[in-house]
Amino acid sequence: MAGSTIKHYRLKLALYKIKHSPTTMAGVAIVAIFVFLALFGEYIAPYPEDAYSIHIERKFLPPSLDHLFGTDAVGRDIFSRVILATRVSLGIGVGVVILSVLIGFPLGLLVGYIGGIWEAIVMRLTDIFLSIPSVVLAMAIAAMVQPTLENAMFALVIGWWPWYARLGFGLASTLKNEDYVLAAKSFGAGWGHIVFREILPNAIPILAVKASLDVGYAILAEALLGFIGFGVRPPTPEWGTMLSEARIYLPNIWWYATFPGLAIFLAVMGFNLLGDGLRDILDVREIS
Amino acid sequence: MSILEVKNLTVYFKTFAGLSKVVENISFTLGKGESLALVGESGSGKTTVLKTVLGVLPSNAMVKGKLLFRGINLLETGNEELSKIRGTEITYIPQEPLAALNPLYTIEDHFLDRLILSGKSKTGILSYIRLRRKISPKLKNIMLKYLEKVKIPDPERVLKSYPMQLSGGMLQRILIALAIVSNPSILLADEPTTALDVVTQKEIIELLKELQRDLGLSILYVTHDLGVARTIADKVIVMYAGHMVEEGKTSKVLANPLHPYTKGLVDSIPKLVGGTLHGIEGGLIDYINPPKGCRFHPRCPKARDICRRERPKPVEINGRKVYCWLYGEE
Repeated sequence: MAGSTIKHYRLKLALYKIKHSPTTMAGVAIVAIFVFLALFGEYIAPYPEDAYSIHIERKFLPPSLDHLFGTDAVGRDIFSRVILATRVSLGIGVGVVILSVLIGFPLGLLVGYIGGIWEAIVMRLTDIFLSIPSVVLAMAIAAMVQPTLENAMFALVIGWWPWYARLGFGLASTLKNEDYVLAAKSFGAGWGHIVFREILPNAIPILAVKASLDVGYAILAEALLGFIGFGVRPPTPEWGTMLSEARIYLPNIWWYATFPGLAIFLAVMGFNLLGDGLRDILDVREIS
Repeated sequence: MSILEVKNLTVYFKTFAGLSKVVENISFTLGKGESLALVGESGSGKTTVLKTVLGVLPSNAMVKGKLLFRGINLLETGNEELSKIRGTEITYIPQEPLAALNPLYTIEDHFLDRLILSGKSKTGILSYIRLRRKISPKLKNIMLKYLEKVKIPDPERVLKSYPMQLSGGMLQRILIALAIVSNPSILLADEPTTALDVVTQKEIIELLKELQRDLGLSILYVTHDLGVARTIADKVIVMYAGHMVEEGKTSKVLANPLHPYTKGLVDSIPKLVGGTLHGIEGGLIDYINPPKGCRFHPRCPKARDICRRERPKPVEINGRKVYCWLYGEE
């Protein structure tokens, strides 16, 4: 059937675009590696028990074949801990973005389409949230509650969803003037049909690009929370927290801070490259 | 028997600069199986009239007057009833066929949505998901039947295609098929042939005429093209700056225009043989501060004092109506 060939065509086109864009390939590869590490970290890390156990006699060993990234102040293998931290850091990054999208985006689309008093209420609410720097807001919230993984995530989501509400609002207020929306309206479509069937699918490419870029920033913000002590508490392995522990030993014990820092850098860069690549791949109008 | 009756329709828009008085005192009737063309230059309010009938005006519009569909005033009844009439009984063919179809859905998806919205198929999320995965033979037959009605070649393939894979003429046929799938009694056409080349334009007009005859459709056709109006419409209403200036049988109005504006329009049609073009001096009016009296007087070669003071009353001449002070005094 013609329909299935078109779907295959889209897939092939996406693969073609990825192949011919080295940066996108790099992004996909980096993200794939991190996702793999997040899923199977225990089986890859040479010393999986080092997430929590202490071997004081092995402290501050420089990088060697036994300990690729060296060991930390209490003798834990940094290589293993960086790998084990992937799940927490990536989980928070992706989780924050997904939750923010789920809360903010449909809300923004709806009020962007409906307009009127609801638009005023929701958009002024987002203005209030956006007028406070999101990291400061997250710090304030994280400081009030227990420093756990979930709370760090919620603290970030509260500062993050208004961006998606704004994005959805902007997209809906332009897309609602498209002729196909008018045509759907003329056929008696209600707001539910128009928002979720006509507007939302056309807004998804832009949402996907922003969301994938934001995963990187969310990882960064979460590392920052960890660094200043409002994020995940030690000894749970997490890149930001590890950096914060390592800070006082710089510059002599250089490997302690370098490798978690590199991990953050690579993850942020990977999601950024992926986001840039998605921009080209998701351009639906190019198939035909 | 009239199926749509518009009485004293007035549409204003509240804008930042002031009240924009776009359409004033439009009245006409559309009989069953009849076709009526609204003619005028761009910006003369003809599309606004059509959008009012369709009920898709922006929220800053103020509408007065009556819009009777089989005796029901569309401007008054509750929302529920309206959305049923509009979309099933009154449907619409847009101007830009490619822009009017969501680029992400196949023609089959568009049909499915349309059938569900017009109540021809079961609604509800579960049955919807099932239908999207595999369409029932009954619905498929309806789709194929209507695609054949608008003379689409290879309808099976077309159903699986995305809008940008089809030509403008094909898409316009599909939009017509989408419009008639609910067995409407009135079809509103907003310059459906403007974006097409001349040959395709002729085919689409032939198709519309055929459907009008076979299905007993009434067509309200908006166009700036007098040639198109001549081929498709029984009756024509000439609009200038939101006012009616002339109304009557198309052949008579175009052969022997009474109003100076209609004369100017007819004279502005480019002819293949010789001569310079005769246009109409000046441009469209400012709707916020429209000229007093007849809205055409600043551009009218025959304007007199009374034209600047008072709005002309309709004068009946041989079954036609003309809104001009040149007539009726005698």
